[in-house]
Amino acid sequence: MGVEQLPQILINGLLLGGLYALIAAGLSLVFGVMRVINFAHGEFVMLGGMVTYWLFVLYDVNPLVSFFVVLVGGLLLGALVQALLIRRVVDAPPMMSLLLTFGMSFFLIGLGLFLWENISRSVPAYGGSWRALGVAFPRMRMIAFGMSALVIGAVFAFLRRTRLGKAVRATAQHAEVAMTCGIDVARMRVIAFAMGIGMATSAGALLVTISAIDPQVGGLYILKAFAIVILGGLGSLAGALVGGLILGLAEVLGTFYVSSAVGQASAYLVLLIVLILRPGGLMGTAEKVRA
Amino acid sequence: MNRRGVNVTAGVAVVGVMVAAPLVLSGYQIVFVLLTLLYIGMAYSWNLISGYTGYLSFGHVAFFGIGAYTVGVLVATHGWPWPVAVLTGGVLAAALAVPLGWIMLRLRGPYFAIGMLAVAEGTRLLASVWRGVTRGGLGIFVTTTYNVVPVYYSLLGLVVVVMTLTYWVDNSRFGLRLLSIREDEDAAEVLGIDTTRRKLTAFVMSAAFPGMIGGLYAWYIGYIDPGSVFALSFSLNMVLMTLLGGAGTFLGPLIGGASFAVVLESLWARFPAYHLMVTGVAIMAIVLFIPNGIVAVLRRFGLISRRRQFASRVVRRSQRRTDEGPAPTTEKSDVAAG
Amino acid sequence: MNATAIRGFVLLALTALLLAACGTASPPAGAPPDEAGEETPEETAEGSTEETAEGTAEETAEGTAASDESPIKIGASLSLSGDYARIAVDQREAYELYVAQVNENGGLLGRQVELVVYDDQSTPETGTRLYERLITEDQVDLIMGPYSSAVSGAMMPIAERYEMVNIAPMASSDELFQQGFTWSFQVITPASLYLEGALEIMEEEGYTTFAYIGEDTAFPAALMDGLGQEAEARGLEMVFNQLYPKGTTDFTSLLAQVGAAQPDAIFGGTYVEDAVAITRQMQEQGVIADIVALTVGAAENEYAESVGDAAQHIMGASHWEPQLETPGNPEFIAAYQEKAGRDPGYHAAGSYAGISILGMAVEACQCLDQEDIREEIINLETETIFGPFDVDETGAQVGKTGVMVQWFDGQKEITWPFDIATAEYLTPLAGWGER
Repeated sequence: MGVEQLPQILINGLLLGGLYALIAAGLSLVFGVMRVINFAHGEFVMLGGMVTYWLFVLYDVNPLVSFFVVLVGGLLLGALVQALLIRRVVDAPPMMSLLLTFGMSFFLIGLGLFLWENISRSVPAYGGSWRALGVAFPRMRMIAFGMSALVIGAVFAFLRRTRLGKAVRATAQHAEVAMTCGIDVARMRVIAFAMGIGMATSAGALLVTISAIDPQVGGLYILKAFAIVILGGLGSLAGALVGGLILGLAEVLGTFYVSSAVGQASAYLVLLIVLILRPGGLMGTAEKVRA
Repeated sequence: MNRRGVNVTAGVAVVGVMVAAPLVLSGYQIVFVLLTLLYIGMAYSWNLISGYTGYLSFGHVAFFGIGAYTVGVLVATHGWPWPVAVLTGGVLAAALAVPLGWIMLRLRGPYFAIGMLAVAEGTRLLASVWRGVTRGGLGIFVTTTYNVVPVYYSLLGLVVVVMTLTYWVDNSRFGLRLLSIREDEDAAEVLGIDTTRRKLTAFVMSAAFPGMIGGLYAWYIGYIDPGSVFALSFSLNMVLMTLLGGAGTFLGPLIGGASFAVVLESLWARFPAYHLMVTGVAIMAIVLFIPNGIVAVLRRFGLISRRRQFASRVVRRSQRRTDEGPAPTTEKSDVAAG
Repeated sequence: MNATAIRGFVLLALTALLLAACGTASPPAGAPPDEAGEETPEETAEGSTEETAEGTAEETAEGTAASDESPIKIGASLSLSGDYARIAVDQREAYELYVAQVNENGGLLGRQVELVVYDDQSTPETGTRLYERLITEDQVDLIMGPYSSAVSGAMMPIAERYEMVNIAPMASSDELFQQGFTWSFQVITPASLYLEGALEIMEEEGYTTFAYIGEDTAFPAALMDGLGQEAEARGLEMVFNQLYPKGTTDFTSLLAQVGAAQPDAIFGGTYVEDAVAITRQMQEQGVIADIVALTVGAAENEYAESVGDAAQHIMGASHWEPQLETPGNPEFIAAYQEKAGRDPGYHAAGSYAGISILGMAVEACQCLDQEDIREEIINLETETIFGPFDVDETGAQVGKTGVMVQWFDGQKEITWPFDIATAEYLTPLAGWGER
């Protein structure tokens, strides 16, 4: 197996990882603030992708425009879901939120099958590649990577620089103390969940241009997202970014040097290894939302 | 006859009816009951670990698949007799559960749930990849004969065994300890309970049965492949039935399983397109409105005893020893009633 | 919590009862004729179940004369929901079309035909349960096979046990018909021969090496084994082969390995979504060969729509195309379009052909005796809209070959078998961006 193909493989892995990171970051944010693992996170990715597909096929909307549309849509949807459902199980035993989101994921899969049938959809967007230094940089993946970075960067900035962002982080660190400081904890949770879902749906918009999605694709991405989030540390955004890149690389390298099955399994292997050796993840403990 | 006598008689009567059933039921009805027994057996297994200890395993189907493939390989490739292969499947699953549990049970809450999910997916992938043994995506033709009646009785036997085991757990010190782990593991440890050993025991018990049930499934269905034996629907049914009936109870999985099977039968025939959606809503509704399941509701109406036998015995015994001070607080209110 | 629990429980129970009640009241069109309440011998407090009233037809056991007024029932379990839902819908449309046409023309054996279709949700155990139901409860006269290999494998023993003829139109796995079943019949080309046309083209042009990637499920795995054997027989070499897990979306590394092996031809055992992804990623990564042939997926219109220009000169392995001049083909296409509102694909065509064969056999023996019908099918050698039909004594299809197509400017041309080709095949492929 050639070493001359290594640079190409690495580029592929990084580009893939960037998108994974966006999905994982949303999951991580929600957990950091609310201690809720959203089992349905993958299904929101799917929804984002499907809506993008719809807009493209029905109204000829450019997927990059749809990206922002589903981002906003995701924010609103997330806020709604939080206010109606998640809110009720936030303070309950973790079993409850796990099971609730488990049920929600099946509902969304059923909805997806009902609305879009069990067919793979994709949006052919900017095809082809830029070539430089003997390596192909697939156009759409580069764009997707850029958009992911944009969103993650925006979230970082929000959490670090704005007052509201700091309030969110305070809630993540210690909800009760935050409350005594006058922070409206319930509102922070809505914001956090909304952002998490927004990140998921916008990732879906990108995903549908790079590969095909069908209503049941959520399950695949949620496991990868979990692997990343646990690798990087639940609640750490930087961890999600680093973890995402690592997973992307692991997958492509695993496939190239061993086989596709190993590449696919790398998410599970990473997950299990991290859970066994260092449950807190690379970035340390999962106790705080770290931007 | 006292309450206990009534219960036992009722139980024996039900088993008797079930044993006689294949003689009077139509082919379809037997198959329906067979599949219901399969789901109930899986639900009881899940209940043993996730209901009592609160460690939600979303990957229990891994043991089912292991059992199925054990039978598939042993019977089809090596010509073993199927009952032996089924038992081997159970033993293998339980054996694998020991190191697996040792690793996984160190993780708490969501970590454990996700980890088990990864285990299930990983096992499925392994079944695909290990082509030399499992034939990968080609699948294994286990048998060309249609084995309804033997599988029916085997499943019936298994369900009776796992229910008896659950009854014992439910009324024993061991069960109370498991429940205390569910309530507050750290407090349980402080009280001196070796949580690791208890959890592991429950986990291994909960793995043996899916191993055998999976094997019986393989013998019944005749053809297995990674997609069908590691299917999502098994995980879904296990969780839903136990939740609906009442996790961590003796009758929960039975009630949940039976009612779910009946409701589902009417539902999906009506709404084939919506059944996933409806199932999802059902899970959400149960979590939000009746998180303790039907059993909890029946308890409030006094239809089911609120006290656990062991807890009652302990209380009575300690009350007799008047010079030992206040009764030991090994029972908390919802442990006894929940 | 108390009030909520009661409320929730009552709600659930009411919903269940309501739905069960609605069930008995008015069965929707196409749904099973009887409703689904069953007496479970367990004493549970839950749900009301209704013993269902059976349908009208009283079919007696094989051979004895039945009333001329009662309809002939054909039963099938299809994957109307779940993983294979999309394709199974085509199958049902085809069955319904056939039944409607037959009924218009006086029915089968002078009796009207009634189709009973259940949804097995793409799960094998549900499939077995439904076939039991069809055979023992609904007492259907004839059955047609289900869609996927897994469900087929699960219900073939049932067909054997009840000794009913089982035509499985879309079952392609070779092994299904190597298990010693004597009552099941294949309509479609066996999976191992899907790419026979591509191999012939290779031989014609003097190519010697090929690479194969496929999804790790029944037919691509069977195809891989078949290619291995065929290659040996024809003196070709499979220089690289690998199966990828179902659900793979990123093929870049795999394609890099394929490219590194530098084969003359690249073959893929694919469905639509992976065919699309593989093509796109081949384009991105610049992986190419003189022949590129992908099964199933690349022969669908969806494929060309999704990859656009990249489809140019890609070959697809199909089973049936609208342009084929098989008997009754144009009429079938027109009728299907009218009924379903869309063009038929090969699943519809194959299913239609399958149920037609069943009808033919019944008419030929003028009876509903399963043994006689079976004899007819074994001896039958005919051509349907789908193409040739001829089975051997194991039930495997030996008459029908696949059909190779190639994309030219967004249009599919049949390039093999050579005697029915609509255009000549084109090799070698030029590079990406040069076509």
